[in-house]
Amino acid sequence: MGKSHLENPVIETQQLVGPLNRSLKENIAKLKAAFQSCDDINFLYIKPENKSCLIYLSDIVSSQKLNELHQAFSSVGEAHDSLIKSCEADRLPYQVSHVESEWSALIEKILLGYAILLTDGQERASTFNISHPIGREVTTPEVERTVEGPKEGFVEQSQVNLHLIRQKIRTPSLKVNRLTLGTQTKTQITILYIEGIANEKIVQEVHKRLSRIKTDSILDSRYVQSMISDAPFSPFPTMLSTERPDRVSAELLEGKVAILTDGSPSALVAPITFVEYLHSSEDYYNSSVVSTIIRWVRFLGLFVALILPAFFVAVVTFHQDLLQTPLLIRVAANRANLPYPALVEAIFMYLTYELLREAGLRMPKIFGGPIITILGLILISQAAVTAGVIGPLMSIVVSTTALTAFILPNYSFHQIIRFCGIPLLLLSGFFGFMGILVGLMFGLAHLVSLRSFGIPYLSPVSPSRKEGWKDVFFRVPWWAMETLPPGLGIDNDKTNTKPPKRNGEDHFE
Amino acid sequence: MQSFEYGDWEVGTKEITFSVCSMVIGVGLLSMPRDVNLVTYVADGWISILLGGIFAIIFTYVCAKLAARFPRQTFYEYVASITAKPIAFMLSLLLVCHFLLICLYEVRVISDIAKLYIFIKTPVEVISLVFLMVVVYAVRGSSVGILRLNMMFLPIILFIVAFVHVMSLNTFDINNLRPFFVTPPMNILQGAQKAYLSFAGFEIVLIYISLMNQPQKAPKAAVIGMILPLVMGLLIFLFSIAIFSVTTQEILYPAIEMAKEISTDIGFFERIEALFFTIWIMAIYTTATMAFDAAVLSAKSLFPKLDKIHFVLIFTPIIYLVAMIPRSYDSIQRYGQIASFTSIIFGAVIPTLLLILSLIRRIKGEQTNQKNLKKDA
Repeated sequence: MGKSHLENPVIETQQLVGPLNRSLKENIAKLKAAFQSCDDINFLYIKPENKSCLIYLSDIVSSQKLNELHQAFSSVGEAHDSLIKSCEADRLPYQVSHVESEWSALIEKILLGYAILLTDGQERASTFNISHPIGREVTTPEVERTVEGPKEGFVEQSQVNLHLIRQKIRTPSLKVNRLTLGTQTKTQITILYIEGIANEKIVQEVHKRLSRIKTDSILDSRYVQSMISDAPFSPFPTMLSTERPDRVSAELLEGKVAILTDGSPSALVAPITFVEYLHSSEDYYNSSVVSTIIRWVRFLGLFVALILPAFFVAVVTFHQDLLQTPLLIRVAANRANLPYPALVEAIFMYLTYELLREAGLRMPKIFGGPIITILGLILISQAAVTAGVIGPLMSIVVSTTALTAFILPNYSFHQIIRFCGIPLLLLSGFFGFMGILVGLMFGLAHLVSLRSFGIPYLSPVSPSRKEGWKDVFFRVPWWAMETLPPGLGIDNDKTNTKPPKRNGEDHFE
Repeated sequence: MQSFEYGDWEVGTKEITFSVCSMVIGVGLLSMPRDVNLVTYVADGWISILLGGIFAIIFTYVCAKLAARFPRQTFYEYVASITAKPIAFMLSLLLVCHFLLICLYEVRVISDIAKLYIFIKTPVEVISLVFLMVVVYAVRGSSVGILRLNMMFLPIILFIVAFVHVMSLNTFDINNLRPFFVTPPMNILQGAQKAYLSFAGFEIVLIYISLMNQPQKAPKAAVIGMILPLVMGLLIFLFSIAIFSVTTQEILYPAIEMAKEISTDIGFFERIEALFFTIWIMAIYTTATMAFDAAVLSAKSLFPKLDKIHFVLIFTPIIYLVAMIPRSYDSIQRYGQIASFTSIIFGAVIPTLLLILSLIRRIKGEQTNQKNLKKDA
């Protein structure tokens, strides 16, 4: 996993290229050389003439399908000429075969779990899909859970994932473009967009960036993300990674482009803006009033997760006069016997939390997992307070912050916000409010210059597009979502959603 | 990876309105009540402020009108087409110096205020450096980004100003405002001049309108952007006089002191001047950033071969070193006086002359609707 892709030259297995040979023997010999030391490859000669050979990787094909295929061949008859004819004419009582005459295509097919039929005297080979893909069942998403709405989550096979999306968007305008990346892994990448809604320029840009990728392996969608995102050095993600088919479908319908990576249960969506990381698909299933309130709670949560410890440290270190007198006395009494400055306490608590969090994540479920993190944090901070090492207020502040951060629906975004709190904390410990402000201004100046596939990251807040606010500060009811989100450069801004007509006479009175 | 440029490289009317407003709200407004009250009696300064503000609005209109006549042309380009290239070159060079001066003045004053109110022991050099670094970081990005930054900062600033005023209503003593109309007209005019200087900064429209997609709407947008600081100036002035009476003229930064006077018993906070001051830093930050960026933009129009980052690297040490020269409050204020003087020249005199010239000679830029803007815009 940790090997460098850049320093080592890509190691190619002995490549078979060019057209097939006429002689079966030579073809088999070549294949055997290519698959040397691959003990799972099988050469099954069709009896009794032995002039045809079925080649497959024994462990990735379904033995049942293989049997069926074998029986089909036997039923056609002995003469291998007729076998070939049957194959070409699709007369086999088996699913459609493809004819290939290039080695590279053939080898790819073998690796995908096809069986190939080589025949003496033929420069072509028929291929049969008898693969037996293994993977998880479609289950509820692990990370992005919701109370309401669809419960399916993506799995590792991109065919299944595509299936899930096709089940939601049944239109031929949903375009599916495939390409293969990774010289070793040959990972299939699927680009999805809806023609007529998605901006052509952005689709082209996604294609262009993907085609520029040169790597030997892609094991997860994050590999792709890190290689095509706009600002490689920015900690902020410029692509949304989600494991929910309903979210991807909704984004596609808003004119976004989705990228499915085979082997990864998370799809990438681009372009994406900052505020969309604060959205959860559940927002759209709840009533608009509830969702709007929850949105505001999330804004508050973002703010708390970012600056609450920094704010507290700044207040007790620099700006005590800000507090009301009774509160100030309380705080001062708390802090009077404490050995360390507030900043040190905060850093200590932060470190404890981060250690526990990471430990909780790696901990086997049987030992308690994430619950240990929370309980551990509370227990340790309680003990530290009792021991007189840290103040009780600091313990409240850091525990609140640690828990509040989970309000952010997107995990990668949650992590970034959590870590952004640390420099702010340091700044506030050294410079007070001005430090926090300088830190925030630095962050905002970075965010306004950031773009996700050409779309300003802070849109529609800045540049301000009022028609986009209905899905940022509010979540208006579906019938009021008359326009698509602005800023994606889509000409036809209208969806077909219209307010329900009130026709008083039709209703029961 | 080369980043993909798409879409909104242009700014709309809203951005111009907000930018003018954020540019004008800077250190000027903090000390304006004192400056005006020095030459006027009691609360009569409001007439001066109104007069000064109206003048500022008129000249904002002139500047915007001038720049809007030449859509998508830089200051250098349109001055060259109105007059001659050498004159345009000289004027642009002076304009660069003017904006740099504003920037360094803001940086220095904010550092001094920060030292006065928050960091009593921290050397002013360090505060300035930290502040300047953040300014440089923003300027290094795109100009459009800076204008968009205003859209987020301004509402917060307006909120805290409104909050401070509402909270200080209980110390507002209307008797302090009387008697009215006791100042001689000459003093009113002097006050108006001082107030006008606090409203300086709107000359950035000369630079930024070239980024607009609908320049014909610029004058209106810029004027709206000027009205808000005027209202704010009037409010701050009246409140300072009502709260501090005539002692206003002895207080260095009445607006901050006003926040200090507030004592609330509404829950968590008791004294909010640190909060007020911190948020005011945002206002000064946007002013300094836009001034720096305007300087870089006009310098770049003179030497298009150099990159933006080169100018940033050239200007930053100059700003820092020159800002660090003064040792006393008075010598810092001298920078302010020079900046005000150049501001009159570049905000009022030159744009008026140029507008008249271009009207007489009927020179106008092409009203094209082309959407291709330069990437570094």
